[in-house]
Amino acid sequence: MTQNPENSGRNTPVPSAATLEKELEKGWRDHRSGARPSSVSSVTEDDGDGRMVMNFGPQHPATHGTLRSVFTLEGESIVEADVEIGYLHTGFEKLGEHMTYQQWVTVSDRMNYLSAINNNVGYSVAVEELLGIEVPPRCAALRVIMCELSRIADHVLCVGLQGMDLGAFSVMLWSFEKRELVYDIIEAVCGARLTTSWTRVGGIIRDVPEFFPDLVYSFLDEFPPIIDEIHGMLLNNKIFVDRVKDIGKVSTEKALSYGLSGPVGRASGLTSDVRKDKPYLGYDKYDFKVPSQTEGDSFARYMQRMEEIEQSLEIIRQAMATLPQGEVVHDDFKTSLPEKDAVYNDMESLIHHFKLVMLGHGIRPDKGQSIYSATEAPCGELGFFLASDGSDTPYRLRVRPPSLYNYGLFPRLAEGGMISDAVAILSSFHVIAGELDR
Amino acid sequence: MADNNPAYEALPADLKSKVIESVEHQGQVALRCRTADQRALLENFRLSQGYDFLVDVTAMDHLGKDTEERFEIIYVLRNLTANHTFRLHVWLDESDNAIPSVFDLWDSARWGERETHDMFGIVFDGNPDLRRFLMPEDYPAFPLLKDYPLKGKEERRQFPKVVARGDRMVEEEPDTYPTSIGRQMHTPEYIEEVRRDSKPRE
Amino acid sequence: MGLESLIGGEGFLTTTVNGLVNWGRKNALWPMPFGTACCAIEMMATFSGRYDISRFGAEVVRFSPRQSDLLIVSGRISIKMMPVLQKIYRQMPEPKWVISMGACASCGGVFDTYTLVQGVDQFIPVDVYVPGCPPRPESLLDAVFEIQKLVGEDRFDSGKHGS
Repeated sequence: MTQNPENSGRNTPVPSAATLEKELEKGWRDHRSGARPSSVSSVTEDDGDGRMVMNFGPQHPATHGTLRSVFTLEGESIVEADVEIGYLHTGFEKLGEHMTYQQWVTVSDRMNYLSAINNNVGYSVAVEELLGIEVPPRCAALRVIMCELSRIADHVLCVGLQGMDLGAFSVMLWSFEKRELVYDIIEAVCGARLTTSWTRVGGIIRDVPEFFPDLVYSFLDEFPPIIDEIHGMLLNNKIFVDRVKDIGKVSTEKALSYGLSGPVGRASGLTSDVRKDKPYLGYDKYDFKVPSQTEGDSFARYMQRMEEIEQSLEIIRQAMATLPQGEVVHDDFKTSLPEKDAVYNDMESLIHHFKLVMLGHGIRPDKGQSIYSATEAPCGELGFFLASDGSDTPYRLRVRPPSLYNYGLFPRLAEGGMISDAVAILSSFHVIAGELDR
Repeated sequence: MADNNPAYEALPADLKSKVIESVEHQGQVALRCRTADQRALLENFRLSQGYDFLVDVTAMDHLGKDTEERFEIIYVLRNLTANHTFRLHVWLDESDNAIPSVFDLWDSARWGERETHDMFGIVFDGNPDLRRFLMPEDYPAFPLLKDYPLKGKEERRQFPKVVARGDRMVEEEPDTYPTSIGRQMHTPEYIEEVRRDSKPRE
Repeated sequence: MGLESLIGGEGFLTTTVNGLVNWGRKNALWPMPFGTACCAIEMMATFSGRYDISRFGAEVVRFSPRQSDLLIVSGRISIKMMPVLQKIYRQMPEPKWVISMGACASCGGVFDTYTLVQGVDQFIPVDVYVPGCPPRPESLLDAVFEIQKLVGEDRFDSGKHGS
């Protein structure tokens, strides 16, 4: 806390953006020809002081996609860790400035592809908050059910991958098997398995099929045994327990300062959950607990996810029991898309659909309005900052990815441990590259 | 101004005058200040008022708009005990292009500022780790600036071509595409062209 | 390709050996999963229980390119990743085949942005494209069958990988 604005004088003049661009241009030529070894090298080198620099990723099974870490090693312990991300940078935010509010829903589910529905819902809730729309109760309840199903699928996959990274391969196969049950429901509801694009601003694409309750209830019967099975496989596995207990400890202060959220933050003693703190979609109607652990190690993060699965099942049970009937799309068709059936059979709806989808007649929040809206995604707090300039595309669309802030602590945690600990920590953090890099 | 924002109410009088504007939308308050006052305000929020959770750091580019400055840095702050969230918007001049870092107040600012630097070219004074983040370290542009086109300037096509030919891998020169690297930016014609490019498909 | 390319000709020995080699190769493909994004999850689903790619002999996933002969590019490839992909492709021993899985790897998909390579086939050779965003596991299985057909037709003296 030493810096203050008066004496923070810069020693060197700050280059302007244009100068920086010019300097970078030369290096770019090297990058594209592959001549710059640092970007792709996986060779270990010894520079004389007994330390080695080891590249871990970006293409490595334990890096969950495209994360890259550079470890400086002394023997097998890590003395310095650095991470490089961006190998999956896709330009979601720039794309958001060029797409209408409804169109961007399609893009949002490519962010966290393990639980696409949570992204859809998070974005739709943000735009609805910007416009001041309230969705119908049936739509809200259906969104809650699907969100929690996705959360379960995400957590169970994360636990499976955690087991796989630490040598318990069957857990991954078993969890994928149960994940398919969730996929069956998602497929029945929106037709796709992974990239759902299920919500629309102001509602959802269409009402769920008649057999939806049967599917969910059979899921609620079939799924719970896997919790005990996974516990049985992992907690009785001495190798797994030894590799995660007391590894990667995060104190509450550190978790707060680094902005950790979601299961990773709650495993370190934070108790914040957007579903409780700022309820959206009527989450305050459901009676559920926010579990939290105090140890803050990799084992606590595993236990945290398993406990959250139980709470999600509880929410689904309550939401199914009180599922209201009625419309699933907000009735103001100046902002929300009419249902497809109505578009084909009803002149008014066709006109509304046409005007919304064609350029220039869509959702137009007033000039200068902006909002930061957050929802609880499986990885943590998924926030959207939306700013409007009065046109039909957002002027600025910023995604606050939970994975980015969670991952910021990883290099500090890896330092001082062994390489094998780094794998155990990384898998317990559950960083999704698509969401991290956007 | 800012009737119901506890963060603003708790400010001492000299800092209250530094807040130049307060906007409320859907119950969420955004305070506005200038670059020179940013550090003092954020220190007060963090150290005196207990806004211990920096949710996000980001920026906006108001190129060609009728605003006070070109850039706007946005801090989303939250007090977990009081469960209150608000935003602080800071105007940043284009020619100065630098703003004091707050990484010593919140560690999460380290990466938030680094990403903002990577996307906008804004320099956060004092941040120890201001390297490229999402883009390759020698990428010739800052992509989220409004004068940078959505489709880039053909950087995505400039790789050598690997061709399978028998046992050997042969590298060929890439096909030639028109490239616009090094073009004069910030001119009215250029901005006009970018605007045209950036319209959604019709 | 080693010894057999020295034999040459169209004689009984070479054609029979050719058939034998191809039969072995196509029923024991060792995939190198270059999974980056959404498609990687569907690829993992293909490798695991319900869809079970091991029924077709391609379940030995090798994360080292030097041990594999089928590169499955699944997911978006950014300009930062492209040199890595090319390096991995170069590291794979001959003969090798490439599946470009999903819309993003094949043509950029919905992401026509500054950072995404619009189709990996601009920079590395691709044998089979799988449409879909992401493709269902069945589609990937079908692509593996297509690769098996290609392997079956391959001639080491004059085919795609002939000298």
